[in-house]
Amino acid sequence: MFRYVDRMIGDAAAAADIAQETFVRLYRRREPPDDLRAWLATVAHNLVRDDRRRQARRARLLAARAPEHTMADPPPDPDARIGDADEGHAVRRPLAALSEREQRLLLLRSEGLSYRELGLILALNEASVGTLLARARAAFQEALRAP
Amino acid sequence: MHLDDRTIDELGTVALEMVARRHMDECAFCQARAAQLDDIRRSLTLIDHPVPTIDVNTLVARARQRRAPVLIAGAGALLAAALAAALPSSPVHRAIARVLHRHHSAPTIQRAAVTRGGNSIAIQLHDAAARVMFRSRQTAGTVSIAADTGHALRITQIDGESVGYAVLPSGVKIDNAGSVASYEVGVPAGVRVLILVGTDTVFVTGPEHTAPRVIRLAAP
Repeated sequence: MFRYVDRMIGDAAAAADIAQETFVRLYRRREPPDDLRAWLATVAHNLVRDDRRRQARRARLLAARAPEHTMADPPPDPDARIGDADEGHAVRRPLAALSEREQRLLLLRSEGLSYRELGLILALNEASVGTLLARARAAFQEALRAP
Repeated sequence: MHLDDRTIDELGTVALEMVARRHMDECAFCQARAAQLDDIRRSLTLIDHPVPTIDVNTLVARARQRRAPVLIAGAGALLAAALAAALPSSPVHRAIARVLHRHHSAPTIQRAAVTRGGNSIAIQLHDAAARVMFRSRQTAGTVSIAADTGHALRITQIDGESVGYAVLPSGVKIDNAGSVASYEVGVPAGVRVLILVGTDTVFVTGPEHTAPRVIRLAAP
C-alpha cells in the first residue's frame, strides 16, 4: 500500500500517512470489504486525491499572498537541482506523463493486482483492462526512452 | 501465435499450462516481451523509498481516537452526546458503549493467505481461535496478533519445529524466522483481532459473516 501511494505521489512522508489512514479506515469498518485489495486501493486513491486538492489550495493561497515584485530569483530547490542526475527522476518524469488512469493501471498491476481487481477499481470491463494496460506500458516505455 | 501479455505477466505467479510453458521456452518474441515487462517493473523500483515501519498500537490508537465522535453523533441526540462526552461514567455513556460493543460478535471462519518473498503463511480463524501456519520455511517471518479490546490472547504451538513465540501485554508475537510451524491462538468471543504479518496488516472482525472468506495479499 505504501509503495503504491509513494509511487503515485513521490512523497514518502505523505505516502506513509495516507497508507496509515487507509488502514485506519479499514479498522473502523464493521466488517472486512468483499475485495480487500480493491477496497484498499480505492480508499488510498481517494485520499491521494484529497491530498492533491489540499496541496493545490495551499499553493493557490501562497501564490495569492506572494509579493508582486521580488528582488532576486529564489534559490533553486535542492531537489530540482539534483533531480536531473537522479535515477528516480528519470522514471518519475515518464510516469507523470501518463494519464491518471494509466498510472493507476501500471502501478496497481505492478503490485500484483489481477485484471479483475483492476476492472473493479477503475470501473472498467475486465476485457478492456488488458488493452488499456498494454497502452499504458507502451506509453511509459516510450516516455522512458524520450530524451 | 504468441502468448498475450496477461499470460506472460503471470508467468511467475501462476502455474502455466504445459503448452504455454513450452511456447515460452522456445519463442524469442515472447521472451523479449517478458523481458520488457520485467524492465518496466525494475524501472518502477527506482522511485521507491524505504517502507516505513508502522506501529500497530499507534494505528489502533489513531483509529479509536477519531471513531468516538462519529459514533456519538450516530446516537442521534445532541444532549446524550454532550453528556456522554462529558461524563464517561454516566448511564448515557454506558448505554452508548453497550450499543457500540453489541456488533463485536465472535469471529467466524476467515482465512488470510500471505505470501512474502516466496514464503507462505496461512491464517485461519474459527469461532474462537486463530490458526497460524507457516507452509514453507521462513527467511523472515514475524506475525503479531493483538485484540483491539486489550483482552489477553492464548497461543499454542501445534506442530513443526520449536521456535519463538511470546505472549505480550499487547497480544501474541510469533517470530518464526528460519522454520516451519503451526500455532493456534485463542481469541475470546466478541473480540476483534488485528493480525500483522511482517508489515502487512490483516484486520479480522467477525460480525456478520456466515461464509468462509479468503483474503490474499500480494508478494512485495
